[in-house]
Parts: sequence; C-alpha cells; structure tokens
Amino acid sequence: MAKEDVIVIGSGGGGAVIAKELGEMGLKVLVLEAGPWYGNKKWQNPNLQPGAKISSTFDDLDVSLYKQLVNKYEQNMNDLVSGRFRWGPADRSRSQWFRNIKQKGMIWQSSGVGGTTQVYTANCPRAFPMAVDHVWPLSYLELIPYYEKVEDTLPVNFAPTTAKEELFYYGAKKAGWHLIPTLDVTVPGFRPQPNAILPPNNNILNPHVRLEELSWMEGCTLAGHCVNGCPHGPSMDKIAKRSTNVSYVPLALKTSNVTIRPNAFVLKIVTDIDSSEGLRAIGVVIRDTWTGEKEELQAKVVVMAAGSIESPRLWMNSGLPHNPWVGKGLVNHYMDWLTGIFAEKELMPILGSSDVNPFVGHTCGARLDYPGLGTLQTVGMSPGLTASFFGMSESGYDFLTSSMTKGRLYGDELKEVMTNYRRTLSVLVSTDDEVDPQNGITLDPLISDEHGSVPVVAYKPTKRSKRKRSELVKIAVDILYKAGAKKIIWSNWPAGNMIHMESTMRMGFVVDENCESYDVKRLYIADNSVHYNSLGGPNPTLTTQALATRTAEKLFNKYF
Amino acid sequence: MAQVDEALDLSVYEYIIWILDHSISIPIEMQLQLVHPTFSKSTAQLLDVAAAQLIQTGQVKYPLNVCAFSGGGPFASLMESDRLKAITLLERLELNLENLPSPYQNNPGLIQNMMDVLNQLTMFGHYSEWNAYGSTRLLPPESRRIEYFPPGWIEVQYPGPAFGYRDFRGYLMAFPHKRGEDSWRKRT
Repeated sequence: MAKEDVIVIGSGGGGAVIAKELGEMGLKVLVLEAGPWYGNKKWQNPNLQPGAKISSTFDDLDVSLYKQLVNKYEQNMNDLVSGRFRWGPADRSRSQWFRNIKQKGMIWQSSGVGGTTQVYTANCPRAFPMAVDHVWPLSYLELIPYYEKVEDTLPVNFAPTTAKEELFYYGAKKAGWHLIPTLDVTVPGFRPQPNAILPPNNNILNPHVRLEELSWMEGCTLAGHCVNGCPHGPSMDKIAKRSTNVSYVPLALKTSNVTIRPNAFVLKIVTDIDSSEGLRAIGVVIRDTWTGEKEELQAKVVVMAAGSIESPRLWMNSGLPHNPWVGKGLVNHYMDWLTGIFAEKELMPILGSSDVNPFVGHTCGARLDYPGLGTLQTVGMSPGLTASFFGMSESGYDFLTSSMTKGRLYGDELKEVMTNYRRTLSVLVSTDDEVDPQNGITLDPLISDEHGSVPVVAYKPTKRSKRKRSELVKIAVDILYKAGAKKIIWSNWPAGNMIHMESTMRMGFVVDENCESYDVKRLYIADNSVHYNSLGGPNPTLTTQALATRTAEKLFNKYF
Repeated sequence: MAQVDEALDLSVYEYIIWILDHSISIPIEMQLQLVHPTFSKSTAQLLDVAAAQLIQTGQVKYPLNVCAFSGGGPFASLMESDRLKAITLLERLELNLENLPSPYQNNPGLIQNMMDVLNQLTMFGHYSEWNAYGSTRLLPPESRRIEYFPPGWIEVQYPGPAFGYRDFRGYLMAFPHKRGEDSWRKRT
C-alpha cells in the first residue's frame, strides 16, 4: 500500500486550500471527497456512472463539461434532496445523507469537489479584529499575512455595483451610516462585499459582444448564479466565482503532487501508539460511495476538512479519545431574513430603472458591518429559492396585514410579494453568535447509516445572541424603509438555519493554535470547526482558508 | 386562495410527495419505522390528525368540502384558512403527541420542522423550474428535461438562467491587493 505524505478529508473551503499549499511545498497529498467531481473529463456522467477512481492532472479539467452539468436551473442544482449541490452521494437516484435535526431549520451544505463553496456566494470578509484579539489563542496580526495570501490567490475583490447594491448604499447613507473603506473592520458602516469573484470583463457594457460570448470570457457577467453554480469563464481555473473547485483545486493539480479521489467517504481515522509520539493518526478507512467497497489508506499526517458536522462525527465514529469539546460550541450566526418591497416610482429617481432585479449581479454584493453586533448583507436569488426563504419562520403565519409582516408568507400575500419579485431587496442578518457548549453535534444512539452513527445537530441561541439579532433586525428595517420600501417582510427565521456553521472543534480546546489535535498527534483540522468563535458575524470561509494556509506551514515545519 | 389553486394546477403536491419519499434512504427509513406507510403518507396522516381535532373541537370556520381532492382526508377537506389553523395547531404542539403516526409520535421538533418544510417545498416547487420538467418531472433527476418555460418564472417575470446582464454601475472601492492590483493575472 502506497503511503501518502498527507491525506486530506474533504475538498471544500479548507481542504482544497491546504492540499494546494502542501502540494506546492513538495508533499504528496491525497484528497478524499465524499461527493462527485463536476468538470473533470474522467467523470463524463458523474451522477450516473462511477467513472474513474482518481484524477491528479490539471489537463483532466474540462470547462465545456462543467458548463453542461452546472446548468443554473435552481431545482436541478439547489434542491436539498436531489440537487447536484446537495449533501449526498454522486448518484442522485439515491437519497441524501441523513442528519437528525430535531428543530426547525435547514442545513445548507454540499458534497462534491469544491464542497459547500460550490454553492456559497463567495463572500470573503475578514473576521472582526475585536472578535479575535485577546480572545483567540492567536492574534489578528498573525492572521493578516495569511488573509492577504488567500485574498491574492482566490483572488478577492470588492463587488461591483448593480441596482441592488446601489439601493442598499442609498438606504444605508440615508439612515446615517458611513462607508468604511477597510478590510479590518473596527467601526460600524457599510461597504461593498469583498468577494472571491473575478471583476466583470471590460466588455460587459459593449453591445457588440454578445452575452453568450461574454460567458466564455474572463470575468463576472453579473448573471446572478452564484448560488445556482457559476459556470462562466474560458477555462476551469478562470471561472468567475471562485469556489475551491475552480480556484485552489486547479492550482493544487498544477503542483503535480496532489491527487483527488471523489466518491470516497471516510469512515474512520486509523491510529496507532508510537513510543515517542503516543497516540497518532496513521491513515483512514474509506468507503467507495458507488461500490460500497472499503479500503484502508495510510499517510504520515491526516487532515480533517470535512466540515463542522462531519469532522466531529468522524472523530466520534472513529472512537478517538473523549474530549468534552468535540462537537460542542456550534455557532451558526443565528440568522434572520428581511425583504423590502419597493414601488416603481420610488425606484426610478434612485436607480434610473423601475426594477431592482434581485437576480442580477453578485448574489451578496453589499454589506453593513457592526463589530459587537454582527453583519447585514444584501441577497438576491432566483425565484424558487427566494420564495422558499419566505416559508421558514419561528413565528408561523402572520395573520395581520400592515406595512410590516412578521412571519411566514402564504396565500395572497405571498402572491403579492412574488408578483413584485423584481422590485424586492432582501437582507440577511448574520449575528455575532456566542459559543455555548450546549449547542453542537452528537451521535444518534439509535440511528446509523452506511457511514456509522448519524449526527444529531442542535442549536439554540443564547440570550445575548437573541438581543444582538434583534438590534440588527432594527437596523435592517430602518435601512429598507429609508431606501423607500413600502412594505417589509420580516421572516423571523428559525434558529436552526445552518448556513455558517463554525466552532465545533474549537481551537484551544480540541486543537492547538496550529490546528493539530491535542489528543491525537499528526491529526490536523482545516475547516470552519476550528474557529474559536463566530468571528463577530462575518462569513467564515476566508478565515478558514487563511487558517488552512497557516496550518500547512506549521504542519510542514513540524513533520517534514 | 388563488395561490392554492395555482399550486394545485402546477401539481406541486407531486413535488412534495416525491421529495419526502426520496429524502431518506431505505435503511434509515426502516430504523425510523417509515417504510409502511411512506414518509409522505405519514406526513399526510399527521395533517389529518390535526384537521380532525380542529373539526371535532368546532374550530373550523368554513364548511368542509370532502370532494376537494380525490382520495383526500380531513385536511384536504378544509378551506385554506382552516388548513393554516391545522398547521398552526401542529406548530404549537396543541395536540396529543402520543397519538401521532411514526416518526412524528412524541417528536415535537420534527413536527415543527415539517411545518416549515411543507411551506418551503410548496414555494420552491411552485416558483422553481420543477413543473417545467413536464412529463419527465417524476423521473430520477438525470432523466428530467425542461419541456417549456416554467410557469412560476413567468408569474414573477424572471427571465430564467442567464449568460449575463449589463447592469454594471462601477465600483464603490478598489480592493487593496498588497502584491499589486493585477498579481493574480500575472501569475496565471
């Protein structure tokens, strides 16, 4: 059995990053991914046939195949049960993988090369310095060079302005907020979203270049399919939205040191006891999701990057030592959702157009940051997803009609809002969420699947998180009214909406400041789960990627 | 009411049944005692238990229509606002959780979650392209083909998947890349 230098479990936000970094350092890396690989010649029909076992060369990437598979249809791509971007095996005629969640909510994660970054909106804000300094086991200053490296590699840029950002900036200014022209946020204010999306091509406004031609050129076309899967660009490594399958994975393959194996679910971390190191990781057991065959693979170092649910689940299903913080302390930015409906005559003088067209431009192009409270972000999505977000509420149906509805939409009111879909602006509230050991991932004592005991996911906000969310809701309502909204829908989302999960394998508790586990040597973690807290509210991916970059360095220096 | 009629016209209930019955793998369904009846059937039974309680306790505002939906139970016979009341009853857990079908029996979190899920699925089924898969809509996903422009998208004037839009209005700020504005381009 060939022994790898490093095995990385998961190819999403963190796994692809650490694989590329280690590959560039000359280590032989095997990345194991549970889901399919879209846009690789070795998997022409990734959802129908097993295809090849591995791919390790950049030449295998095929943008035409990617464009054929990632077809931007929201049910086909985003359905949580049968969509291409779901948490499940490549074969879509089979069910998704089960998680037991005994409360209102949903878990938005995706398997497949690129992981959940396939479906993320590419937002790349840094953590708030105040949420890291004197709180985390490392300082914000120590993170900055790694932030810069990731921002340069993805690359990150500020979102261009389309109508919905313009409307948000207009409302925020009228509400008394100022532009904060910074990456390191210490005071409240609005700013364009730092996004891992290539800037629009210079021909975006050139009527002689057809939009279809533009979609084969470099740069964002403002098509609005960040969540449905962006396939626009001339080659796989130059797709506009920088999911890791188009950013870090191509770079990893270019090192000639990285091999990626999709359709491989890791069941167990294998350990032994070494006379000098004590308990240490020496490999993994995987299960081929097409054939069901199991196999043991060995490595000098193992990196878990399976996400905030699967990393602790794998730890516990592997029977690794009991640590009271494994799976505990889940934060999810205790989110909420507000939508303003605007009248044509109000929009004309602000935008020069009668519609907001939420489906145009970056899905999340503008934000307001408030250290100590959290963040607000504009969101514009395709209609099915938009409508489905009106179906979730902690407060059920609101049977009242006024200029503000709190609760779930139904009947004529839903109809009215959706008829006005093109004149809506939605805002996502993302709270500076507090770590509470009551929240997190445990194993279901009664239910197991082909990969072991299934995870139970539980989250309840603390009083402080609740207070912060309600402050942010007030700010969002004010901005929407100041922008001219004639009516606001306040969804009052359930607490269990898991979109930004973090902190279930906390730094300083489960892993040290270099992200190596305290209990098992040579076992590292490179996903959101190592975050010490919720970063103050900003989206987690960039921080995960910065930490993964740093972890690669630390791991290399210690063991190679 | 119009919404409900249109959701019926678009056969969104078929979408919900398909999703519920394909959401959990058979080995897990067996552990949840969900094979007979299926997840969609036990969910329908859950709604019927709530509707029956509403009817028996005289909380129904409108007359029942037993012919509203062929083969339908008490829930299907309710008018829209009474159905919402039945859902609210379940959401508030104002009924005996002992008498519910598996897997809902004594499972308050799942009941509450399902009330959101049913609403979400109805809306996603209605306003996504699902209906436009037409005669292929109940086939496995890889065999579905779009047969016409989705009615939900016509309703909201969504133009459908796009190659791009020309609504570029400039930048509010330029990103301060430490290694020079175009380092990414140079490297690739």
